Amino acid sequence: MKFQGLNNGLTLVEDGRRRPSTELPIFGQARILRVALVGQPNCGKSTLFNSVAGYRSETSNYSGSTVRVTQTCVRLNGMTVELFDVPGIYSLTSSSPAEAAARQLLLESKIDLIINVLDASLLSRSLELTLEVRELGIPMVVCLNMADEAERKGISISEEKLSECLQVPVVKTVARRGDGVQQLFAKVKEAASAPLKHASALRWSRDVEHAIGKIQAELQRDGVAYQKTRLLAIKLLERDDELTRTLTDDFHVRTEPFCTTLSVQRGRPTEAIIMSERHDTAMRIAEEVSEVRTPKSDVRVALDSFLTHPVWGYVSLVAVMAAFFWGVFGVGSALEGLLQDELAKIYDLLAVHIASGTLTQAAIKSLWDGFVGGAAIVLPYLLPFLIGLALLEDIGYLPRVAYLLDGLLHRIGLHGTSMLPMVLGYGCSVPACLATRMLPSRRDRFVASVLATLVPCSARSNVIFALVAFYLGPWWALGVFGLNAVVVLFSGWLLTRMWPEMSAGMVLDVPRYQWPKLSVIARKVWLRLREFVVLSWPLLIGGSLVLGLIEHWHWHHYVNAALSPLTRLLDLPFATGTTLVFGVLRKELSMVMLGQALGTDQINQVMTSTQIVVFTLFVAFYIPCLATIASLVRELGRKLTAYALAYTMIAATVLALIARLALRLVFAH
Amino acid sequence: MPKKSGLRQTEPSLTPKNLKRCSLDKVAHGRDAMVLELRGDRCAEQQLVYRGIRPGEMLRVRQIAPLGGPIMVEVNGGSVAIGRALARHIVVGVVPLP
Repeated sequence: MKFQGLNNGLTLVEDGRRRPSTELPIFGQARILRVALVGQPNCGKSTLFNSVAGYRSETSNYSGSTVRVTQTCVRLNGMTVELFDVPGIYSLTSSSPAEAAARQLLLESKIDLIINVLDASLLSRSLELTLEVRELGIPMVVCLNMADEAERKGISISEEKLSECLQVPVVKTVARRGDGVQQLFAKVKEAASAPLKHASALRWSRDVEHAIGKIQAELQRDGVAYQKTRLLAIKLLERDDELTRTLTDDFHVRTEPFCTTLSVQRGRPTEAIIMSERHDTAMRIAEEVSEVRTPKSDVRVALDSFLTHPVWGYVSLVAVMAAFFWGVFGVGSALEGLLQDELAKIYDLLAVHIASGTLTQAAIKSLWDGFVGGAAIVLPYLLPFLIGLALLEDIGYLPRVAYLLDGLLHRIGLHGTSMLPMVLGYGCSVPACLATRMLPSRRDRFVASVLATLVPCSARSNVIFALVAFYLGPWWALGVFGLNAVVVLFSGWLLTRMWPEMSAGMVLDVPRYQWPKLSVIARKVWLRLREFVVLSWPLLIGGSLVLGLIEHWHWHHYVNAALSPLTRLLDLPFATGTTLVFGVLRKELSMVMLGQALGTDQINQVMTSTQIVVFTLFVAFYIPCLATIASLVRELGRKLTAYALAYTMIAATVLALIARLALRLVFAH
Repeated sequence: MPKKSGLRQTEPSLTPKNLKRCSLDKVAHGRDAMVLELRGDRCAEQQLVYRGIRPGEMLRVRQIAPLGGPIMVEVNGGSVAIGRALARHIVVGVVPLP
């Protein structure tokens, strides 16, 4: 068969399981209903998903926070539903890997029903995707989400009229509050077992329908199942590059006349005809089903003019970042001091019962150190940090940051959209690398993921806070962050010089601000904190135990000796060698183990201020942790990852060396 | 009788012919304009069209970022920031002030 085995995107072969759309599907008790949530970016798919699945899919107030398909099985109204949260798409034509994932799911997996989520306040724009998805011939329910936002904008939409137009059930929801979700899934049950009706709103003009019909006939001649041909024919007229690449020359020769005839008759390319006709239909439906009154005055509009103002916007940006920094530092250092003292008292009570110098004592001491490291050094900074980041994400401030910094980023050859993964990099490098999937250009994805790993993640920020800020003062820590930003920008400049062609231009959705919801923030922070509690903390304790035992048997000298060229070069204490090795597992390990390796909690008694800064700088820049390396390999491939790692290693060594030499002048010791 | 959306409501005499033609990056802050032509490459053009920036559509320039930064426009009830380089490829007709 002609199309079989032709790579990505589309499998044009009948699989025997897909039923003709006019026939009633059979849902036995044991049958699992596969439901996909499809919609444009930032319309609340993940929020809806979470409202039935618990907080599993991360939500944020910006386009492209979901970059891969998340799935879950839930029991709803007595049926088992396998629910897919799909990355937001504007069209079934894909331009970024995230969109490609969505398209692949819809075209290749056997989805039984689509819940098309619309942002009710952007109805006509959202309906264009609805019209396209409707052509897939899969049963569908339309979810008019953010109904409250639409009302606030003075738009009232009639569900009945819309349902009439599209011939599918329509339910209004406010997924954030959980309103209407019950009704939505009740409709899902109904719609899944009802045949998909013909909707006259989906008919194109006569000449377009004629061309579609001709191409459909050709597709059928090649053995493509009838209900798939319609969408394929439309996509062919739309000149969907990914699709046309998979078609044979012979097929093109046979169908080209239909496209040319249509294009000559209308005097414009077929893709323009399809797009504008779809747009007109969406517009007509939107006007037919909605009534627009004068909107309520919205304080967010005024707020936004201020926060994106050419002057006040930047002033606010600096203020927000400063508040973030001082907030994390203030809460973190206060808690760190308090917890260190209290936990030290507990250990003193414990220590009198253990004979010193024994293996038992070494084991217990190191386990305890690992535990205290997590509780007293990491958590105090990590918690406020994650809360702050979640707040910025949910309010919708991050796209404004991208907007404000686009001009600056252009100087280094990047778009403002690359800013989002970098900002997420302050949280954790792994999701930051994943987030680059929303960027359409491969080059931007490469540069952004390398830069995102250079940005200090919360673990590395933790080292900066707990060492530099705690012992030398917050201004020094701010200096380290500033230096990092300069290095990141410089690296960006360097990388884009090596790969100069710049993608066409930035188009960035700027969402409305949203008042953050406490329960969502709490669950999101917990989702990210859990990563530390169940994975990193045990690793800290385990690593600490290993180090304790190594020290007990005096093996650490070999590791330290092996790393002595580096430690000597940077003038760091001999004992820090092992901590740097462990840091590759998790960056927090370097810091937590530092106290243990040096044999004291008071780092400043055994390390000079210069050494603290040099150590922190090195830890902040050198090779990212294992989890990050793994995700870099997945996103970039081994070769590019190896280059990226070599680059971070060189950058770390050079910077630490410069700092060592320069700070000698400052501290005079 | 409820009115249709505010931005799209234009004078009947307002046709592309009697509007001042220029590229989007030349439009002053706060002004309304009608999109006349998209000249960028196809990928960028599609990104614009998906968000409702297409010939015949009305938009309002809400904010212009300094240092050659993007231009934020309001279109179809939503806000979109467009990179300056791309904005040069969007031909619009500026609606005269009343």
